[in-house]
Amino acid sequence: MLIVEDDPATRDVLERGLREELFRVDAVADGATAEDRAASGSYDAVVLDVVLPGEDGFTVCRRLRTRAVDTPILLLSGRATLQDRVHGLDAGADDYLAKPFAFVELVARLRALTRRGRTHHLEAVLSCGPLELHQQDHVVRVDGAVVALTATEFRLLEYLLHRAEALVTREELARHVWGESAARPSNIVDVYVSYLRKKLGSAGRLVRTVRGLGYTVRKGDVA
Amino acid sequence: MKRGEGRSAVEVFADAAVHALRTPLAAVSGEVELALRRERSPEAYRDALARIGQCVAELIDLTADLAILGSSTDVAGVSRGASRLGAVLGSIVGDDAGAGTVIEGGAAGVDVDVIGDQAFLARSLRLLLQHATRHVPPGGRVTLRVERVLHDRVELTLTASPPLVGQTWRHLREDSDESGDVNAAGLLRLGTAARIVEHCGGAIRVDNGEAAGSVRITLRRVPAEAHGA
Repeated sequence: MLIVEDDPATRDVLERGLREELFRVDAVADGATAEDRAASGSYDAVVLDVVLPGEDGFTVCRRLRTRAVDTPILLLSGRATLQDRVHGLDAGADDYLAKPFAFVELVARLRALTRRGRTHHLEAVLSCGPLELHQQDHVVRVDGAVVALTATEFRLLEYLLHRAEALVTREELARHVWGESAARPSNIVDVYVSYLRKKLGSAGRLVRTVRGLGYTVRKGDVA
Repeated sequence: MKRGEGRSAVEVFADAAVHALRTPLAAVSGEVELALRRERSPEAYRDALARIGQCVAELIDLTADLAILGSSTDVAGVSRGASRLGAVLGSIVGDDAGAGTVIEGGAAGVDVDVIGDQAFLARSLRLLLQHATRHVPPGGRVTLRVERVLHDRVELTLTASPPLVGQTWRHLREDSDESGDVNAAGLLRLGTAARIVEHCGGAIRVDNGEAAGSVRITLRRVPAEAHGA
């Protein structure tokens, strides 16, 4: 999660609060740094204040979308008129929350955004070797043959394919798939990965365990 | 109020006030919500209360700023009395003025008395410095310098390295139009700084010359006969 907030007190409380929810958090104070960091596309979501030194949040949001960064963006602002909200959403934000806000609502909105993910911005098909995942149709194929997955297994595979080549920790998977961070024991991730591998048959080996850390899907493993 | 004639002065003022108050209120409500979310140690509660106290102090300062900005007359008494310029500058040295801030010429101002309450004059300069430090890039520097001491006034200059664009100080311009401007907090900060200095007979001007974006602050000296009295 990337927090962009120039007020030190608000930034601090956001950082602590989101870390308590087991989000991994980076925080910056100005628009230019925010744009640089967010352009990597490696964040699950960006919490972006509107009033910032230099470029304001609307501009940062617009520029990120122009650069094809599809990370969900939640604008946070002391300005809360209808015009402000419309302006923010038209700039490419996915959500808009006015200050002061209930922390529990911010967390709920971020969970919703990260659950929803980037499907509206992404290509419809994710693939790795013989494996294809059709996001809009919710269909998975291995060598062209349809594999029946549960909704949970589908979300798990979708996230792993979306983050192909990267290490995905158990905690990250749990948060994305089950939408909660702390309460879910990590072994449920292992259990579901095991189900997934079995259903994928020979393609199941593409989901590699990184001992003690999590999982990764690598296109280089396609034989 | 001349600033913000694009919208009514009341609208501009109310917008600036609402926005400025919402950010510290967000920090306070967030701190309270986090503190109450689960059982914590006594030290953690004390830390939370200390942070809430800082936010409340900021809200108190903001309401004082609003009282100053909301009236064309000196209801707060900012012009009351005289202050030693050296003491005013001394009170804003250090972390109070923001990281990367340099205050020069304190010696030149040590023996000079200017019109105005010391705390309010310091507040005015602090608001200007905060605005500047907020806009310089990381590693940049803001300098407040006593430029000239004349018989009736003292001139200070606020510059930044790298220089800040003139737009940074747009809210100091009488003809600025804040319609659709997202930075209402800047209007409040700079408007209050200007109003304090104006109440004390001085002025704040943006320099459009070579040092684009620098700000000149003129403080009125206490007349010589007043010293003799």
